[in-house]
Amino acid sequence: MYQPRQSLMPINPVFNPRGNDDTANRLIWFGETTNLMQLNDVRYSWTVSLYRQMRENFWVPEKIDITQDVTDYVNLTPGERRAFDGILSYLTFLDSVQTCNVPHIKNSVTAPEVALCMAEQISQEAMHNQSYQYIIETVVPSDRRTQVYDFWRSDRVLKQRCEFIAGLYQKYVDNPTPENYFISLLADYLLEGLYFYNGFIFFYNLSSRMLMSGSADIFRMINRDELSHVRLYQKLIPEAMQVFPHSREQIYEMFALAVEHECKWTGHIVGDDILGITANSTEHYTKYLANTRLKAIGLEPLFGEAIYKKSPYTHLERFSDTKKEANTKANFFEASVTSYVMSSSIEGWDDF
Amino acid sequence: MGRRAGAVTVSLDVWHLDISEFLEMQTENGDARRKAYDVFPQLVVSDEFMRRVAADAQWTLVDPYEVRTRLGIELASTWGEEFESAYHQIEASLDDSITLYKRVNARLLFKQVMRTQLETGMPYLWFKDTANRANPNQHEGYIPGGNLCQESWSNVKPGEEAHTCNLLSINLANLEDEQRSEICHISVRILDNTIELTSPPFTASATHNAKYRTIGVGCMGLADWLAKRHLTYTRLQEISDLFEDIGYYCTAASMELAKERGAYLAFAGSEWSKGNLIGAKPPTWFKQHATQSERFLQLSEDIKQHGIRNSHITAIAPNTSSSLVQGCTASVLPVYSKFFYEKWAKGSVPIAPPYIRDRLWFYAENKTLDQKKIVKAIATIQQWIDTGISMELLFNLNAGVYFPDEPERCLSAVDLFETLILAWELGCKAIYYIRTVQKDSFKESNEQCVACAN
Repeated sequence: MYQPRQSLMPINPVFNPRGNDDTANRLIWFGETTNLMQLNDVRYSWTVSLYRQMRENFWVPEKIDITQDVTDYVNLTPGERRAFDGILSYLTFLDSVQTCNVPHIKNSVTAPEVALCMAEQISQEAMHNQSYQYIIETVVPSDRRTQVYDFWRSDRVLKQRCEFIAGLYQKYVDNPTPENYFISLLADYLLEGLYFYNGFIFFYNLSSRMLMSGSADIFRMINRDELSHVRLYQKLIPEAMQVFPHSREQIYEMFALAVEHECKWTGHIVGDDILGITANSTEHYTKYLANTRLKAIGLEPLFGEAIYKKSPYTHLERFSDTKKEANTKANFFEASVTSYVMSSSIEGWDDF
Repeated sequence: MGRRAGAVTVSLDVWHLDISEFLEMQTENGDARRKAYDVFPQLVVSDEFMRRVAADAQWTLVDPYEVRTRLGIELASTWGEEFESAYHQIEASLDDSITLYKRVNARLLFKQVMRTQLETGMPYLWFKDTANRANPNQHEGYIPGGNLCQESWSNVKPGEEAHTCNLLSINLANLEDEQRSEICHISVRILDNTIELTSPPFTASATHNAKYRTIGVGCMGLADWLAKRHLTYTRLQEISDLFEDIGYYCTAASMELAKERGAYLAFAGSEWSKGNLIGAKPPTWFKQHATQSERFLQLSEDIKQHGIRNSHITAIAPNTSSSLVQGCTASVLPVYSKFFYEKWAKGSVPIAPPYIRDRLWFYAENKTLDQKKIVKAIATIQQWIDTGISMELLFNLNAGVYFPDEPERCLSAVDLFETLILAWELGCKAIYYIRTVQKDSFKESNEQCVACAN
């Protein structure tokens, strides 16, 4: 394990012509980067396809028609409407805090190809905020909007939740030790891999019941982006486990706490009031997700019972269709087709 | 089904100077005021353009107003040889009487079209010369472009005659072979009655209905029909025989109706009146290509004698919504996937094809099928359909889908190019949406897809 000489995380110099970026010398952390970004010469080759995919997924919310949602919103049950507002506010907070925090993580990353992916992630998180705003300003009546934007700190449970999430980040910013860096990185992974998904499920659930389909389309796009972020951290965490002081117990503890907080929040905002979601299914799903995310970074599952091997929401996951399975076919005249990517995703344009 | 929100297609000829801006109408980048996300653009494409695309030759973009005022040519109203000679005249006048123009490489322009299709699903490509050659009413005008679903069209005159879609679809999933004739006759009669029983929403539509009586008997559930008979989309002869029957019966039915009710008003001088049949093809064509050619020769004579009730009789619509109600696969395309969600304005409906339990292996999934097979099947059907067929193409951008021996290989741009060119060469009249299965090239480190629970 690397033993850092200095007690605080080094921040990359902006201009560093004497850096050594030779691939043999390159490291994700504690390297000597020049900051020069070019994708021909990389040590971490997975970044190339990941970055390209992130770019190919480019989309803008304005293209998605959410006018039907305006009518649907009025017809939601009070519980559904409260959850809709609350989850939007929560997700807005998550993407905002990511936009703010990822640069802190990135500042110590000394492999330019990894920094490139993080830069793209930051840009996407910012754009997701714009998407939430697009939904809020279209769907939520004007007299309720401020409430929605403010809910993250006016709701007691949500405020606690946000404090926990941002607190781990803030801890590193206040005291940038390698130990805290690892915690912040793991907190990023938890956010990208665990915290978004009960929210996504809520929107897919509504849409599967013919409600708020335009918003669900936007969440499909956001979900597709977030999956690429999950993959970024799935690559970074195992590397970080080689480099930074940490313990298995600490990781499990953070996961356990994350699951607890996620269940508490989802129980508070969704609870048993929404058709198709129960406190049980929330717990089941969250634990299943935690196991999945642990396995992806090479660790044993935290929740050993057999039921946590399978998602309770396979029907909604199929519905979300964020990957290559092509489970959803949209009618162009009625709904947004969300499977399009940039034409650079196909090669050989100069071959003929 | 009630009423659906309105939608509109806007067409532009491929020689128009604004073609680049037209193609950017639906892309994500650029000033939002130059975008129109809710219209459905179609490109009107001539053979001459396609030939130059194939030959990698130069193409000239011009301004129709300047062409009209300087050379007295109304370029949009020409097609075929008339277009080609006018276009050559224009190209010979560049820098002379024609000042507003741009020379581009036809292949590069076509690549721009393909990129736009890949990113947005559109523009539709409507092959102007193919469609107009098949027009039975060449004596009365020309067809400027296709309709919103790219299967139904006829002559129009702005402000006077507006093409009107009177469509239905026969459910092939439930159709027994011995019912074909009867169902086709009933279908034509229903649609002809519809023209009498409904009120067109505006005068130009009513005028058109009265003059041409265009109808379109279509089909849905071809994938079910094939699966039920243990056939696949490569069985072109069986597909051809089925649609030969449908084309024949529907045309004969309209002739029978003419005996009873009279021919359509513009019949005299039409291709039909000359004895040409489906798609304005001469009887000799049917003699060579039809499995049962005698009946076509007889029909040709009968139509010359009795006339025909409807100028256009068959058109195959996408009918995604009506097939849902019918419980069969949509239109004549393979099933999208063996189990999938169909997404509507109000939500999504899970779909599985009707005979999936017993015929699982005969439902090839479109998302993994080489689209050249689709093009060949549609071109085969098109021979027997006098108007058009809504042909969607679906390209899967992921590695290992089409080339089992090369798991790393993805579809490349040239594969798409060849598919589109093939569609034009084989006589497809239009290409409707280009759909894609999004690329997901990230390799999971674990043995299975555990990284992505959602």
